[in-house]
Amino acid sequence: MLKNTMFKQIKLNVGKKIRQSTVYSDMNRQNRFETLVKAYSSDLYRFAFWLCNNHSIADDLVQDTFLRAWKALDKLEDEKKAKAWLITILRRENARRFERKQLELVDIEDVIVEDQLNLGPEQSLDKQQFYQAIAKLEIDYRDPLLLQVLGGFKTAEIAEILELNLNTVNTRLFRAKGQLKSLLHKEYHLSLHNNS
Amino acid sequence: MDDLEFRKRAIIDPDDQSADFLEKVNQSRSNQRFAAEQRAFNHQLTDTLNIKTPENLAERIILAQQLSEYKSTRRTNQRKWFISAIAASFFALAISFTLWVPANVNGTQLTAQVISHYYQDTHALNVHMNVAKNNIDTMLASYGGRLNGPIGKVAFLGHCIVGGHTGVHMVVQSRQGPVTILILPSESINHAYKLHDQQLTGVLYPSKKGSIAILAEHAEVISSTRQRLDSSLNWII
Repeated sequence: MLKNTMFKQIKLNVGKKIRQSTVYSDMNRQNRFETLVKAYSSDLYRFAFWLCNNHSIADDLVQDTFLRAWKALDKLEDEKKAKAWLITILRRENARRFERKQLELVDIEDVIVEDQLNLGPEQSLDKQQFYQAIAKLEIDYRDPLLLQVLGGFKTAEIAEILELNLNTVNTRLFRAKGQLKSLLHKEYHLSLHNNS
Repeated sequence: MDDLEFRKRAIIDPDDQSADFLEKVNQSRSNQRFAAEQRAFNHQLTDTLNIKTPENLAERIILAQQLSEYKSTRRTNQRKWFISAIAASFFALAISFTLWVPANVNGTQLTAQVISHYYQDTHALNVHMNVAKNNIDTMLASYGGRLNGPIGKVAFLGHCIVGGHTGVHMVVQSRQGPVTILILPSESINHAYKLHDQQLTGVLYPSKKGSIAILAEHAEVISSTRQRLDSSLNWII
């Protein structure tokens, strides 16, 4: 702890009063935390959103994740593993949310397309189909997919984060993409049918 | 590696860089095409998953952490102060009331808190964010304020906690070095105070809403910064 703390003795001159005050400043820890927040908050938010399909809950999840990360910051030994560490905390926070029975029932059809207004009708339909398909993925398949596609993790890293063996991760990635393609195929044909 | 194994691996991880996989990709055009299709699918997924994130997310997270830390420190200090207060109260009772001098405790306390906060947040002096005016307005809007004109090149912008209430912490770059501005809408004082110690100088003065502190290493920037700020800052509510 001592190596991470700065001890300052400051003389304060307030009006005509002189006081000696000692101020502990854990600058390194605060700086380290803020660096993590600025580097990873957006990634974590996206991950959280796809875990719960709700912006308000995603916001709460990310806030709670970083509060826990702040308290446990001394346990993070390697900055290169920070992203994986934060995602692990996030997944646990999401699991706690279920334990507290704070399930928010989100109608899959109402999953918001963020930039829908900025897309042309055809692009909008494609993206909406993707959103619906991803939201319908089984949880076991969704998490490895998010870690690979959104997080940029290699399969071995995904296995470590999810505490699964590598073959299981590979199988789930394979099935996740197969399921997505199948769902997209159905959505595409359904939209063709509706348009006709 | 047979074709089935290759197709499976390409679907699982089209960016696989292992030698045997790459060798298989390069074996035929259809393999190259298949691997490219899987990469394109992954890119499409990435594109879809990369939704827009809320503005000021990082700032809000840092503010929540600082609030939590403040509450935790306050609880610890309150325990220590309680024990000290009991001991001190016996001594205080023996002092004659003619010796008691009334003082503007609020203003005095606030000046100490302002300077303490300055030293706790000196990392803000080394940040160069090149903050846009609309970011400043967004933050000020949450307190009912707005800037009608420029105040200089803002290199740092964030929330701060001084005296138990949140405020706006800015650092403006000047020729004489960084100037710290703390806008404290919830901290009202009756009159202005000069601030100085061995390293810095400044002023804490009442504003239409709360108070404002300006601190720097050189006295000459204080009054010009105050002039610019007072002519630009507008409290709507």
